Amino acid sequence: MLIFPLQGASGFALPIIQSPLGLPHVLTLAAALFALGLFAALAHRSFLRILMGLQLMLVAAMLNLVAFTTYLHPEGLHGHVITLLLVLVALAQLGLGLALAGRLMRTSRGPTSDAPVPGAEAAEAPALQASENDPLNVDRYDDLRW
Amino acid sequence: MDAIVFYALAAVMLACGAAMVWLSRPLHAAIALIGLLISTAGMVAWLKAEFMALALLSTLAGSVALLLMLAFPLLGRLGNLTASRPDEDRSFWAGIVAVLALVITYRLLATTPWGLEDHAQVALTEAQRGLAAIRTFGETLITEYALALMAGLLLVGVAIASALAMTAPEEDAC
Repeated sequence: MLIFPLQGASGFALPIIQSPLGLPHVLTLAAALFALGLFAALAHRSFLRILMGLQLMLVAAMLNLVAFTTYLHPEGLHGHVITLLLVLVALAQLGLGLALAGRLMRTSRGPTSDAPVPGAEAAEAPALQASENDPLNVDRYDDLRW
Repeated sequence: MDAIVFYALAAVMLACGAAMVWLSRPLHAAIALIGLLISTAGMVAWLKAEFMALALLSTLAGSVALLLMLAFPLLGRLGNLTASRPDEDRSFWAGIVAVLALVITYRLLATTPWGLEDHAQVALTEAQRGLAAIRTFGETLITEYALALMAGLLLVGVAIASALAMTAPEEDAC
């Protein structure tokens, strides 16, 4: 697996996968998820993909918190409480993501867009040439065109 | 048995995470996100935090599924998420940064003496069992973390208000 090639290098003397199943395994899994989310957030220019990468990083953080609570501080539930607060943050992020997607759909030209508003034909051309500074201008995101 | 469950859940989580990152259709990526959240809830339950697993399932995975149902036509119209300008491809540098982060984290994990390493040694305290866990959780939440809870709820409120403002008709938006 991923961990075996690292065994020979100095500093990687403890192969986590060969140790008894426990906290380091969960933390390694969370680190892998975090790295995936970091890659998604850095590599893609689609805001939906960036939001999903952030979601992945949040999930990794939640997993870390629960694991630390279970293994290192089982007498309290502080990690669980902070995890619930992270869930609130993730919910806010999801709601905003969906609203952004809806806004993009409205401001972009699409073959299946809603029925035109009366009198909107004249204003259609300037509206489609939205400002380059507008973050909701779909022309800034090549991957959201169809 | 513990090891089998852990590695199965870990494999599902990593597969769903990778699918979320690399699948081109937004609908498929959103379904992978739901799979990731459900498997995360399973992992949290494996960590003997069943209450948090239920909370994760009912709030996060449930809301994603609900949003997915509401946004099904929308996601279908957004097209391909991975097609982008080749001259601005940032996958290489993003991959290097992600691998570096993973290697550094693994080094820290491998060289830190954690003390308790065996999952079988984890013993639940009275505060972590059944209804007592929920009571302890609630007491902790509304006493020590009351301010953070209020801030979190305020954040959700602001997000909902912003979402409504963004999706309102043009004449009402400003």
